[in-house]
Amino acid sequence: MRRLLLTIGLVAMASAALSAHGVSGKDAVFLQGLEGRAIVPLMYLGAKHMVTGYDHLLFLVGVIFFLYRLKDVLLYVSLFTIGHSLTLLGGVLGGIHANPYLIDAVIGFSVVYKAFENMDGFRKVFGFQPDTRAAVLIFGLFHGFGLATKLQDFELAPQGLVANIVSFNVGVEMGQGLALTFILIALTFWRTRSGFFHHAFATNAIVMACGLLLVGYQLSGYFLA
Amino acid sequence: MATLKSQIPNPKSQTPTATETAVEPTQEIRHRLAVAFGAALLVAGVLLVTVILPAEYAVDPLGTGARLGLLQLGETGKQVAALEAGKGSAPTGVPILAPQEKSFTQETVTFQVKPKEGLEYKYRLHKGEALLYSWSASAPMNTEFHAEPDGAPRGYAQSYEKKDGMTGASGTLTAPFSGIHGWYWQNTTGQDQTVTLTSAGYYNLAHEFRSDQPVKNKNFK
Repeated sequence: MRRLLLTIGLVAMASAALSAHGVSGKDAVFLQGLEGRAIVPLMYLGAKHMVTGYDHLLFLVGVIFFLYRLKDVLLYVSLFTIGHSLTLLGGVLGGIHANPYLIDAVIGFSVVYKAFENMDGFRKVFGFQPDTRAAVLIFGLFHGFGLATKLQDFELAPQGLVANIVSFNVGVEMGQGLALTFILIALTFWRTRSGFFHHAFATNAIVMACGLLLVGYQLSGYFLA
Repeated sequence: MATLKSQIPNPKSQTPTATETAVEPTQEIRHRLAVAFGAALLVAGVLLVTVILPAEYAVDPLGTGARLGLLQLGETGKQVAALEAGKGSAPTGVPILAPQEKSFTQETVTFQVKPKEGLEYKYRLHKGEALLYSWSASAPMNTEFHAEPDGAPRGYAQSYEKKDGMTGASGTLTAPFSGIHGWYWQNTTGQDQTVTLTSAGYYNLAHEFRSDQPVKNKNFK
C-alpha cells in the first residue's frame, strides 16, 4: 500500500514537472528579446530544459539503471556530457541545422536502444554486445543536437552568443546533475528491495515502450506537422 | 558465462544486466525478449494512434480522439499554428500595419458623365499610403483603375484593373509608388449618367480630367 502511494505520488510529481518539453512560451519571448549576455537566465533555462526533458531523463534512467559503482556512473555520465556538449556548442555556433523531429526521433530511439541493452537483448538475440560506452557517447551527440535545435528555434542575437550558449550548456549539466541525484536515490532505494531484479526486465520493457512512443510521436510530427 | 554481480572488470560488458541472474535457457530469454518487445511496440503504437495523433496533430483514424475529447486539443493547436504562421504580413507581403503621421481624408463626390464621354478622377498618394473606396454608376461603364507614377513620361500609366460594363466597385489600394491613382469611367450609353465615389485615404489632392477641359484640382485640408 505504501509503495502504491509512493508510486502515485512520484508519477503525479513527474507529470507535473514534465508537462512542457521544448522551450515554453514566455521563455521563448525572453530568448528572442535577448541582446547581449544573460548568463544566469540561460543557465536556468538549460537546467530547466534538462530537468523537464523526459527524453533525456528516460535515457539517463536507462544508462544508470545497472550502474552500481559511482565510478561507473561518473564515467558514463561524462561520456554523455562530452557527446551532447560537443553538438550543442558546435550545432548552435556552427549554424548546423538539423530537423528537430528527426533528431528527437533518434533521441527516442536511444531510449529504446538502451532499454534493449539493459534487457540483455544484444547478447541474447544477436550474440554480441556493442560497446556500451561508445553507444552513450554517440547517442550523447544526438541529444546535444536536440538541445541545439531547441535553441535555434529562437534567432538568438549574435551579441554574447558564445557566453549565452556556454551558460545554457552549463545549466544543462547542472540540471542533469540534479536529475541524476534523484534518479540515483530512487534506484538505490529500489535496489535494496527484493523486487528490483524481479521487476528490472519489466521496467526496461516499459522504458522501451516509452522510447518507441517518442519515436512514433516525433516521426508523425515530421510527416504531419 | 559471467554472472551478474561479477566485480571482475570486463571491458566487453561494462553494464551487468538483469536477465543474467536467472539461469534460464537462452531460448526462453529470447522468447521473453520478443514478448516484451512486442508488448512495448503494441503499447506505444496503440497510444500513438489513439491518443497522441489526435491530441497533437488532429489526426484521428479510429475516432478515439473525438470520443475522449482530445481531438479538440489537436485542432486548436493546428489552428493556432496556422495563425502564427500567417502572422506579421498580409498574403502579398504588405505590412499589416502602416502608421501615418497625418490623419486621413474622406469625401463623397458625384460626377456627371455625358453620353459617349469619359472622365478621370485621381488621388495623389505617396508610396505605401492607403485608399479605401467604393463607387457606383447609374449605368454600366467601361472602366480602368490605374496610376501614373511620379516622374513617368507623359501618358504613361500602370493599370490595376480594366473592366467593361461595370456598375460599381469597392476595395482598398496601397499605393505601390508615389503618384496619382484613380479611375477612368466611360459612359457608353446615349444618356447622361452619374458616378458616385466615396473614399477615405491619406490624400490631400485630387485631379479631375475631362477631354477638352482644363484639369480641375481639388485640395483637401
